Parts: sequence; C-alpha cells; structure tokens
Amino acid sequence: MTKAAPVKKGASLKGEKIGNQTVLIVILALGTLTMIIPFWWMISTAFDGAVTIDDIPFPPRFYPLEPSLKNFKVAFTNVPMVKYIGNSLLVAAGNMIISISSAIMCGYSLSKVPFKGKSFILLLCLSTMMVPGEVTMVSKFFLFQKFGLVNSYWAFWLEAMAYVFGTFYTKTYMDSIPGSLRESALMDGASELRVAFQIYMPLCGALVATLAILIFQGSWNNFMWPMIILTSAKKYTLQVGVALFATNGGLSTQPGVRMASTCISILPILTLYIFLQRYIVESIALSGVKQ
Amino acid sequence: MNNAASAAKPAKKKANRFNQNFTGYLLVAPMLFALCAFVFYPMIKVIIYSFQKTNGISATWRGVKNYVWVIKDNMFWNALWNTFYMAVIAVILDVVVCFIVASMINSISNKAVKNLFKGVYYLPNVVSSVAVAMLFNFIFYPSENGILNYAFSMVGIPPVGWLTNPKISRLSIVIMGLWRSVGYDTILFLAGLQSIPGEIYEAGAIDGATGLQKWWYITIPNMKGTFAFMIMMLTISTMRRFDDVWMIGGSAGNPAGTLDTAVMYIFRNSWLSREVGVASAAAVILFIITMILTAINNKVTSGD
Repeated sequence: MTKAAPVKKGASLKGEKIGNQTVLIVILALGTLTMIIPFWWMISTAFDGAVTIDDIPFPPRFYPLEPSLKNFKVAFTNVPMVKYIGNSLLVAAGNMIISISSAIMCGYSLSKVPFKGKSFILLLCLSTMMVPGEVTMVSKFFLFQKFGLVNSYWAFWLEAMAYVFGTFYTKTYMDSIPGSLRESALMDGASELRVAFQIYMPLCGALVATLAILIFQGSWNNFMWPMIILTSAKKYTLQVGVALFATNGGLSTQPGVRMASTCISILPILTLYIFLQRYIVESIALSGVKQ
Repeated sequence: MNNAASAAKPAKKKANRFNQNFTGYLLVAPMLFALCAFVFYPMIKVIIYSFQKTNGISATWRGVKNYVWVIKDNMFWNALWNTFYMAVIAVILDVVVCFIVASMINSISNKAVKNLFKGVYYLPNVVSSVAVAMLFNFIFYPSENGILNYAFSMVGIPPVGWLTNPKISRLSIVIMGLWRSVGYDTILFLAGLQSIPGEIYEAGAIDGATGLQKWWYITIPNMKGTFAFMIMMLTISTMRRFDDVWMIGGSAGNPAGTLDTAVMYIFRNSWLSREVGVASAAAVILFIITMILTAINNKVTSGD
C-alpha cells in the first residue's frame, strides 16, 4: 500500500500535466485566431467581386461571394503597383548592401584592428541610439535639400551607413572569431579590407543573414521618412504609394480595392516570412538580447 | 645579426602601429561620417532652428519665442497628452499580454507546437503599420458590418465607434498596435524566459511548488531585467507614434484631435504650416522628455 501510493501520485501528476498542456494549447490556439482572422477577412474581401464600392458586406463574410480578380485589376490600374514594388526593392537592396558593408567594416575594425580611441568611438555610437529619428527629421530634410537629395533614394542609402545596431552586433559576433586568421592573412600581404570582407565576412553567415532580414523588413515597411523625402509619385515606395492612394478619397471607400492593394503590399514580405520564418524569429530574439 | 634584427624592430613596429591606427580609422570612417552627418549635425541643427524663424535656407533669430509658442499652444499639450495616454496603456497592455503569451508558449513541451505558435503570433509583425491601419479600419468599422461590432452585436452590445468615437479611438489604436507587436514582444520575452537557469526550477520543484507558483515566485522575479528592457523599449517606441495615427486620423489626428501625437505635431508644423522653428522647439522638448523617461527607467532598474 505504501508502495502503491507514489506510483498513483506520479500517474495523476502526469495526467494533470497532459491536461495542463491541452488547456495551454487551446488558449493559445484561440489567440492565434485573433492573429489570423483579420488576414483571412482581408484576403476574402480582396477576392470578392460582390463587395460594393462604399460598404463592406453585412453580415461579415469570410469567403468571397463572387470570387474574382476585379478588385486587383482596379488596384493595379489605379496604383502603379509593379513600379512601386520595384522602387521598394531597390531601396531595400541598397539599404541592405550599404548597411551591412558599413557594419562589417566598423564592427571588424572595432573587434580586430588595434587602434587608439576605440572606446570613445563605441561610446559615440551608443549615444546616437538615444536620438529618435523623428526629432531630427526637419533638419535632416533641409540637409538633404541642400545637397539636392530630396526625392532621391540616396537620402535613404547615405543614412543607411549609420547602422549602429548592426555594428555592435557585428563586433560581438566577431569577438568570438579568433584574431589569428587576420594576423596570418596580413602576413601574406592581404589588406585589412580584404581580410574583413573575404575572410571574416564569410564566417559570419548567420550574422549577415540576420542583419539582411532586419534591414529588409525595416526598409520595406518604412513609411514616414519616405513619405517626407519622396515628392514625386514616380519615386514612391510601395508603402507610400498604397497609403496615399488609400487615404486619398477616404479610407473606407472601395473596401475590395483597398484590401486588394493591402494584399499586394504585404505579399512580398509575407512570402519571405513564410520561407524564412524560423530565421526571422531567431534573429528577432537575438536582436532583443543584444540591444 | 641578432642585434641588427632587434634594432630594426622598433622602427618597423612604429610604422606598423601607425598603419594599424590608420586602417582602423579608415574602416570606421563611413559609420562615423554617417553618424556625424545624419545624427549629430541634424541634432545640433534642430536645437539652432528651435531659436529661429526659418525655412531651412534663410533664418532670423527669435530667441525663446518658439518655445513660448509651443508651451502656450493647446494643440501641443493635447498631442503630448494623447501620446502619453496611448503610451501608458500600450506599455502596460503589451507587457502583460506578451509576457503571459510568452510564458504559455514557453511551458509547451512539444517543440513543433511551440514553434508553430511562435510563427503564427509573429505573423502580423512582418506587415507594415500602413497595411495594418488599412485592414483595421474595416475590422473597427463603426456599424455592424465590421467584424468586431458584429461579434459584439451577437452578445447584444450596440455598435461601437472604434475609430470615430473620440473617447475610444486612442484605445482602438493601442489595440491595433498590440495586435501588430504581440508577436515581436512575445519573442523577446521568450528569449528572456529561456535564459533563466533550469536549476532554479528544479529547486522549486523539490520544494513542491506548482506550475503557477513557480511562475509567480521564480519566473517573474528572475525576469526583472527583461521587464525593464521591454518597458524602456516600448516607452521609447510609443512616444514616437505616427504611422498608424496618421493613416487613421490624418494630419489633424481625428476624431476630435484624439489621435494627434507629439510626432504628428512636429510633422504638421514642419511640412504643413511651415513653422520649422516651432516644430524644432517641439522636437527638442520631445527629445528631452524621452531622455528623462530613459533616465528614470535606468535609475529604477539599477536601484534594485
């Protein structure tokens, strides 16, 4: 009898544990519904040819009554979506290349090259994280205006050089790679720049991928600054183009077309997310730890 | 021979050191240049503008008149109040909801299920705030056609003007923001949860603590650092609110100016009324407020 008691207790604990797990999963699954339903409604409305111009259907529909691409056609004829997607990709690609190069160079130098004033430079970088971009946007705008860079993507690309988070992240990452690689490469007559990009960067695959994802997402979704800098419709990025189209003439009119254009605007990044989901989630976790 | 080599060494070493200093600076140069040009210089410029009447090209000195104007402007206080109001609710809601979700996900033993939840909760975060605002404009539809009001009508609650009623609009924006950021913040909390050493829990289990007791007495005290970091990060980001309120409320922050924020005030004065001096004064004030909030947070967390 005394022997049976612990066994029984163990079994009930196990049962309780499975019960707990089920409860947790059910609650979390209900939560995921809140995450998914808005997307589902958006897609269904975008493909619904029966949605009227100025109202959404009553009662709410979660399937297209008349499945059609009508809304997408209107969206594509009203908004030069393809052009905007191209613009956004161009801006993002430039940002990625410039930010990552700058971060690798600076991070490598701070981690591996012995030179005076390192701690001061680190402090300088750190202090800039205190200044929110919104505070300086007026003066930045006039600065770019002075150099004729308003309505030019160089306004984004030049600023992309200042990538403090990436620099810190690169520095800590490179701190864990031995410095002997650099010494022997320098002995063989390689330049520091070559060592940084041809020897150390290939060893930082995970780092580069993480930074690329973070920069792409930030650049793709950036709205306020592009809206200020880009003055001609030809140059709009996707977010600016879609936002100005949507707010022009009332956010609530033409729900089908609005949702179709929203669908298109999130499609590229959503596709990327679905394929790189695990890396993205990991890189976010890292970005929080390191910040 | 030995002597000759050691004599040549210092000279070579010196040249080498110069070389290393030089290349070291060369490699950090792009970053430093960009920081000076796009952070430090604009910051100094904003401070100068805040004492001027300017259009960016020519300027006349105005002393502290811009600051006086801003401080006397009801719109500014309204914008600041809205920003704080939304920031406080958003930070509390975000921290509570995301920490609970993270704790629940963390307690799931099946790794595949865990990753699935992480993936789905993170989903809204990849979408831009512009797209989220466009979508929620319909989710928050003021009549029963909207999903949320339809769901409410089924339990007998009359339609709510989520984005049209000035009393509720700020809360709706916070909910919208929470929907978008819940995944991101959950992932950060999860990273914090996973860094708590397992031995502490084992010790708790020996003492006979239940799951909920462990959560309350072990997990939460051990997450202090993460909480502090999250609160600081969320405070700073909510003080900068612009995209979503601009999409929903336009430059005036409708309805009834409840969606006007500090950044919107700066934006409006810079590009719509062309009062760059006033905008700069407001920007400097916002910067000082952000610094004070950060300092308070640092003090509170280091005081423990």
